[in-house]
Amino acid sequence: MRLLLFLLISLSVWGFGFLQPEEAFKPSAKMLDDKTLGVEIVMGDQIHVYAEKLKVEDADKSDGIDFQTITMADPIVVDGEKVYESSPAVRIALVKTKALNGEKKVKIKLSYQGCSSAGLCYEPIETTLSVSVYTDKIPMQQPSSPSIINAPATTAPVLDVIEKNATTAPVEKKSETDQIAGVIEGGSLWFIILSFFGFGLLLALTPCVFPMIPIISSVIMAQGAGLGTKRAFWLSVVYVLSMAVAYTIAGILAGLFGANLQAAFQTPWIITLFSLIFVVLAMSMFDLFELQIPNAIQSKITKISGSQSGVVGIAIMGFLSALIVGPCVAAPLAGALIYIGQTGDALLGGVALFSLSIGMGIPLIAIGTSAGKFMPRPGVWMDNIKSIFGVMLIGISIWMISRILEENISMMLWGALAVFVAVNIGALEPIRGRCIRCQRANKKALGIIILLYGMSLLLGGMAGAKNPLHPLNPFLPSQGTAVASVPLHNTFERITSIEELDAILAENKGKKVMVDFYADWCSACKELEEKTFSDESVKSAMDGYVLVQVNLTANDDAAKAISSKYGIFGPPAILFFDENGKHQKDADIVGFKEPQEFIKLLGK
Amino acid sequence: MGKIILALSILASCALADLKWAPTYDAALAQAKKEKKKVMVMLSKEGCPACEYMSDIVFEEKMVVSEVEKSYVPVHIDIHNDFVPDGLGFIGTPTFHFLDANGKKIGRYDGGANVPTFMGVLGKYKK
Repeated sequence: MRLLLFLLISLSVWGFGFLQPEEAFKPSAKMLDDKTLGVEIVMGDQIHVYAEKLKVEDADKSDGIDFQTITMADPIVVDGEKVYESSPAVRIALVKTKALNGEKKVKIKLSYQGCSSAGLCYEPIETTLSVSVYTDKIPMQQPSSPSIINAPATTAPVLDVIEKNATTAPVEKKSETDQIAGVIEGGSLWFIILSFFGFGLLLALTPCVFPMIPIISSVIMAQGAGLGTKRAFWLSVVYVLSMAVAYTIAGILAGLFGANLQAAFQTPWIITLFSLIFVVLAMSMFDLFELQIPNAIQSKITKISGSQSGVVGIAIMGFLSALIVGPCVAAPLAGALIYIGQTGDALLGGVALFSLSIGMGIPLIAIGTSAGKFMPRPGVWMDNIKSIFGVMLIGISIWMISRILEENISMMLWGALAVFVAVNIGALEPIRGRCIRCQRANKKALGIIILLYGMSLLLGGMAGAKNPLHPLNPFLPSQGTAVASVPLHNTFERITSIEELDAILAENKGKKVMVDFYADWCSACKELEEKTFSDESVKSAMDGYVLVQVNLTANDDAAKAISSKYGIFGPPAILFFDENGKHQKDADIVGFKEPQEFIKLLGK
Repeated sequence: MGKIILALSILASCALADLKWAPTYDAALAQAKKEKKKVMVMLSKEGCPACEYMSDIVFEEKMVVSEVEKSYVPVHIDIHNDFVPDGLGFIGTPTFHFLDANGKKIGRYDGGANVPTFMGVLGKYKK
């Protein structure tokens, strides 16, 4: 018996209770004034029409009356689609294309397609409306635009309308790929070029470049004595450019393959793996082990280089040198390549690595041009630069893994890195020797600052701080008690009816409200709760909202009423209300969303 | 690479409860005869939010999937791209028709429904 009752209730709401198409949409047309024709589509309860599918055309183009312009009300955006929930209020300005008087019939071809929010989408409908028009007062078409006199005037106005809709519609948020493209088009391309150039210069100051110095010297010496400085310069440029070509190819390849790898970069174990690779690469920068081409091959190439001459020979040598030096600069290079891979942009990859190698090549040009007269003096400072690369690589590794770690854990990792750096630049060592305001004192002071910051990051992280700018927040007395007494984030207020929701909306004027439609029998809802709402960054993103959860588990009249009021087929669905309690239909979220995606949608 | 990702996502979606739709209407009838089941026809089209709700949410629900698979052979017909068999009427989409293995109509349900409501519909026509 109860089952029967349940079926009856569900049938009345869902079942055959849908309006027939002719009841759902009632189109009509009439003259609004002497020269304006109005078209209306009266829609049934919960019915809407898609703006994209709504077309108004002149059904009889040879009757001497044309549609000069067609205008419509602006559609609203629901769930990403532009729709009309009430009649689109079409206005057609009529013009005569030939002399007419008396009463005439104008035919309008109207096509549209719509859905009921209760869960049924109607078929496209096409209908012709006919209206009697007194032609005496309709203006003649202006001769000022003779080119369109005989052209089907309807096509242009329809385009007008579409354009109008496009411009008045809310600006769509850029998609992810657009954003990446934007980064490259925008100023940050120059930032990338400059920073890679800088990295290249730094790399040239590491011991890595040493194998190249004998090569470039011998290549240029091989040209014979009496070589002018100018020619030496050009030969060096050729050498460096061909070396750059090798790296550029690597960059383009990384970009190409990276494009397909991007999805893989989202999975935790890949992130962990790459993060570990970076740590290993960093270790090589700290001289724990050495990445190098076997000496035998290296010296063979150096020998060949002595016998090479001419521009082509030099170009080949440049290309080969890139391979020799490759393994030594492998660590920073791999970093660069993985970074490019993540952007998935081949052009960016090529440009970035080209500027990196030009940076690396500039000192080589200087050496080549001066035929070995100018050379950086090797020393400890070169190894220091290598260590800087090591620290940067570890930084990249932490940055990567922090995506899958709790914020305070990654803060502790940063803290640990800072402490290591500080101690290694001598924060805790006495300043030996005579030193009054000398450089070593400055270095120690810098070390101490880094040490203190690193330690506070470590301690703050242990206490659960999340903001690296305020690592000591958990220790502040006021903040501390606040954290202890109330939960960090808003919790959901659980309700089941329209009345309760209305009350909450009235109570929270001036605040934004987020309403989650939930049911026990909905596994996507549970997934949303367990994966998305429990995510720390989602929690912080939701902090600005009053959180309400509508429980639809009972599937009773109250549940159906509230679903149909807001046009929800069923859970999961998330609705947003602005400060005035107005439902932001275009922000509706339907179905399960991953945390990152959810935050993005929330940002809209 | 794109293919690998596609394959992975297909694998991933198999891990979820996923309804095995018969490839064609005729195949569904044949299978229903063999397995002594009924046929559930879903008429849908593109650009239909209620159809998407059914495929993405209701037919992802374990409870629904096992109830359908226990008693029905489901088949999916796109009213604009596939051939719609005679007699399967609709005023819109989604529309569900329930048939016996001989293709005789035993019930029809118009529009989308949430999980418990659709469970009720499935229960009604399974005998």
